[in-house]
Amino acid sequence: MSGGTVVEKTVTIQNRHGLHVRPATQLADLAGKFKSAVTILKDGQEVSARSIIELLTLAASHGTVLHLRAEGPDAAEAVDAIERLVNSKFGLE
Amino acid sequence: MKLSELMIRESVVDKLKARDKSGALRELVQALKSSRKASGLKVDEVVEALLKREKIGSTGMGGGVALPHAKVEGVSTLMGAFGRSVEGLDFGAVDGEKVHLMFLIVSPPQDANQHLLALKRITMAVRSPNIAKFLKAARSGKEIHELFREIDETSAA
Repeated sequence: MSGGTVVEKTVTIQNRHGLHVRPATQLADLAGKFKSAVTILKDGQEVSARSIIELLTLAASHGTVLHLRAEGPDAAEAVDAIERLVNSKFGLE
Repeated sequence: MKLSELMIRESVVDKLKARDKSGALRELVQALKSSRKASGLKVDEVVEALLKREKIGSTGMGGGVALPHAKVEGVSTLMGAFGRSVEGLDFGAVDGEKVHLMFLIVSPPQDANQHLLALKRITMAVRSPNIAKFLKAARSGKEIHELFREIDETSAA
């Protein structure tokens, strides 16, 4: 990746049922809209935010802290958008 | 949580007869009901709940794998069933590909964490392209279940 800015941010899963299939699908869809590569870290595990399957391997329950890391031309926008989605409880509650 | 216990041998359907999504889901729910001796499980209701969930967005996650699931009142413990379609099913999957491997999860309404752990166990396995390939190539339900046991031995989740 060239000319990539790295932006990092920490978010907390707030919806009651955690990062199950529907929110993971929303998150992967959203991450896929940006040019930047977004990875999510949790307890030493690192996954691509664009992959539903990988997101589900996190088993991120309510209250779980996730570390977002984006690298690329729109890294800040990507991280902000994902933070908004997580904080909105994925529109599920 | 072990994949081989989540998807017990008797709930593995190695050749789904159904050629469409709702038929396949019905077949899987029936397999779940008989394998778990869950005589109180209402097949129609569970299938309806699964289809309702699919309408919100397909659980076909790409790579030929789907995770149909529903929370069902009256179910006391999380249960799974596995179905394989050799020809593949049109599932409206996110990548538009046909679905060959279906991991069904039926769980009690309040059990969010068990549900997440079941999703983790399944996705930890299928994220590896080799595992999906082996599951597609297995010659019998017995072989599929043996693969689940091997997966349990090689990766803890």
